[in-house]
Amino acid sequence: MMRPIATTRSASGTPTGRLAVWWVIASEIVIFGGLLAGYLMHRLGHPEWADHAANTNTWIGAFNTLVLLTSSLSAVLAHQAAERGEGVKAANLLLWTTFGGLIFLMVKSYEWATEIGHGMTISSNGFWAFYYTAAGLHALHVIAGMVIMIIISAAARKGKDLQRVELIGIYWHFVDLIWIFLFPLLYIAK
Amino acid sequence: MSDDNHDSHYVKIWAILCVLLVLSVIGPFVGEATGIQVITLVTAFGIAFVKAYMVAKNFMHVNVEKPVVHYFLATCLVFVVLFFAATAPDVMKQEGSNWVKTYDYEALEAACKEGDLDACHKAGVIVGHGDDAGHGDGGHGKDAGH
Repeated sequence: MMRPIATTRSASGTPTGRLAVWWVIASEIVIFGGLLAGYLMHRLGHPEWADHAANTNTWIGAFNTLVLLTSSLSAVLAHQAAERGEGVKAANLLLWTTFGGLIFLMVKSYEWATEIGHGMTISSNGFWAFYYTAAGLHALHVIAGMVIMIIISAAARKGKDLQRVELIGIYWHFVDLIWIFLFPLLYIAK
Repeated sequence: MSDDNHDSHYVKIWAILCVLLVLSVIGPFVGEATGIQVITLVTAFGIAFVKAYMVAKNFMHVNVEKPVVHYFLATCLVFVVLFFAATAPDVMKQEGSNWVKTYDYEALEAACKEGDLDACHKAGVIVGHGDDAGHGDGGHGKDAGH
């Protein structure tokens, strides 16, 4: 039986599938890095933005950080299970990771609904424009990761394409890593 | 390492990350209470870098990747730094070598208080919320040119 190219072809010494994920992450560094750098320079240039940042809820941000850190743990444990060939366990752990993403999005929805209800919208001013853009782009990445994890866990449950468990894990950790920087920038610096 | 040891290693890393999270939340409160701003900076942003390093090393295993992966990740980070260095002076400074910004922020703010919504928008003042205390990006890009 032919093995998938993603696990075999390896001109750089790294399996092609994993190399592709690192390329995706490299491009994401520029996307999120540019956005956060833009926010940072405006924030430093406008000390008065602290007045707006004071309206973000630190405890909600902290809770969501805990949720993402915990989901990263289940993602890396899924990778370990896949390495041992335990497809069912890897699939279950990926579903737990997906559940973490769902909790994150539900909390985010509540948070945004509250803020928008108080008149703080994306067009209110520069701070809120960055806030909704950065957190919104991050949330889209969470949704994308959840969809991919559901697909991969379905295959892993049948013992297929277990190498993909590691690949989605790397992506999910990166999404977690972005939030690690968004949290102090948007919720703590006041 | 046995499989159980592997798993417990990751749980230990997660526990350390949780402790760091608690510190990053408590630190700024201490910084505010004591008036020592460096506590806030170190606990909020210093800890963020430590957490990011731990996730990249222990969860993403970036340290065991081939050098080519490190090279292109580093290249992208350098591009972000270049972007910041090239554009930050325009955003953060009101004047520089042979250029000044022409828009009058104080005039916009005054016009906003008079009820000119367009001026409010340009000055970045929240309209119809709270005490309208703050103001945001006041229409940068209206630079004088060179």
